[in-house]
Amino acid sequence: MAAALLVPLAVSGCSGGVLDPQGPIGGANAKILLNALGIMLVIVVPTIIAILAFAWWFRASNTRARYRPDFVYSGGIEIVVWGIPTLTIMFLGGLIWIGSHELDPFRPIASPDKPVEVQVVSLDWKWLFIYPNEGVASVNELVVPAGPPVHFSLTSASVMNMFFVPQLGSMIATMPGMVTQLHLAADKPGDFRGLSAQYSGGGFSDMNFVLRAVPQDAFTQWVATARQSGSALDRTNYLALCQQSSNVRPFTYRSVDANLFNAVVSQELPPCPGPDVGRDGATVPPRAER
Amino acid sequence: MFGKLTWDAIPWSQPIPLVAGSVVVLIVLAILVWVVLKGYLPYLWREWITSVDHKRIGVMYTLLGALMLLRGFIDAIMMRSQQAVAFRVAGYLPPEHYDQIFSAHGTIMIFFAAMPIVIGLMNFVVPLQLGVRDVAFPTLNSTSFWLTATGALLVNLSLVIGEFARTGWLVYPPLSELPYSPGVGVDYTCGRC
Repeated sequence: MAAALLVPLAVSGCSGGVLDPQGPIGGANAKILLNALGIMLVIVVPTIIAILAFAWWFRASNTRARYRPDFVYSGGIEIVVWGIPTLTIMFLGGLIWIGSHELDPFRPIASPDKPVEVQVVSLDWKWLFIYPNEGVASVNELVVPAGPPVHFSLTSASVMNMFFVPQLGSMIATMPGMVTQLHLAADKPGDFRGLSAQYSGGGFSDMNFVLRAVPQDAFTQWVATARQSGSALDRTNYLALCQQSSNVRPFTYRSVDANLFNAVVSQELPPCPGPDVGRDGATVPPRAER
Repeated sequence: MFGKLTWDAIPWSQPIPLVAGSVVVLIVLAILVWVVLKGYLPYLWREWITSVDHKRIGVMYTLLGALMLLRGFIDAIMMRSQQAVAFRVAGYLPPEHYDQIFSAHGTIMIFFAAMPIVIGLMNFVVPLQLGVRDVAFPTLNSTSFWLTATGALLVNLSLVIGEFARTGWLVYPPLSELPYSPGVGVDYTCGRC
């Protein structure tokens, strides 16, 4: 009965999320999650059963239950209540320690294919994806070939954000003046929801993108199409893109200044501007910088 | 004397904070008038406001916590109702207002609801458990409480004077730095510390 109720909940609840992984990293993340849950249930379920059983056995009307008001100490009980939790924590800790190192975002995915390079810049409030080898860029839409690993180098041009594609796994922070790295792969073609997982200001809730994993030839086709249309992402256009805006529809740039990402990271290009004033009706002039 | 503080700092165009603020001011005034007319003021001043008794300070901490729990609860109701109605439409709270409520809710619930309730309980119970007459530094204890109450007052003042931070209660830089938070909100957040 309970299972019949739970199954539709379980199935409907996790499509598009971390429990519906579509790549090796996402799969390994979900495995750790479920393993940790299983190990904790090994403790939690017997404990709950024991609580109910003890409460029932030592009820006032049970004359067979021993009443021991002078009880002080039992070495056996001490061993059980300290030993089992300690062993569990060591086991769980080991599992997560090894898993965390295997899933280190900076660690390349072993694969015969050469990884696709993508440089990610989080802006207020949209995502810029630069393909340094293909020489194109896109905003709020990330197209990658399904199969080969993707190597992301990430930074932020304004405030901290968190790059996260739940179905492919591992989120990672984007920070101004720093580069983080992430390796992901999609097993098969599909559209996966991507988002910022770190609150970053007014346009945050619309700071989403679509990761489209497509077959290799479709990816080549997409790059060719992108090269034909859109404007060039030079420094002037970057500074225009840099201004705060939200709910930006996806578009592409036909070419990219090859040094743009490094210029953003080194802050040779200054951090993107924030808002000028406070709340409507509460206009507070910014203080002069000392 | 007031520096940059002008009448413009009060959000005349926004009914929600104005009505909420007026109701609170009216309630506070009504209580004050009642206390003065009944002649409770000397008692209140001697026995509670200037008291260094750990039990009374504990009670006052818990009362402050309960009051702020109510404020945080109202914030939560506003956020959840916005989320309920704002599916594919804008809802009734613009982002800059929602973000203030979201930040104020976190700040108030942790610093002015959870912590005062726990500290109030500790103030009341721990000296009794230890069998001592009071905490080690009773005047410092009283000062701590009144600084906490002042912090709570400041955070609530931001409802009608200026604005509250839109940084989330963790106040991460660079979002909380001047270029990305030019208003007075972050100053109010720092008032809690």
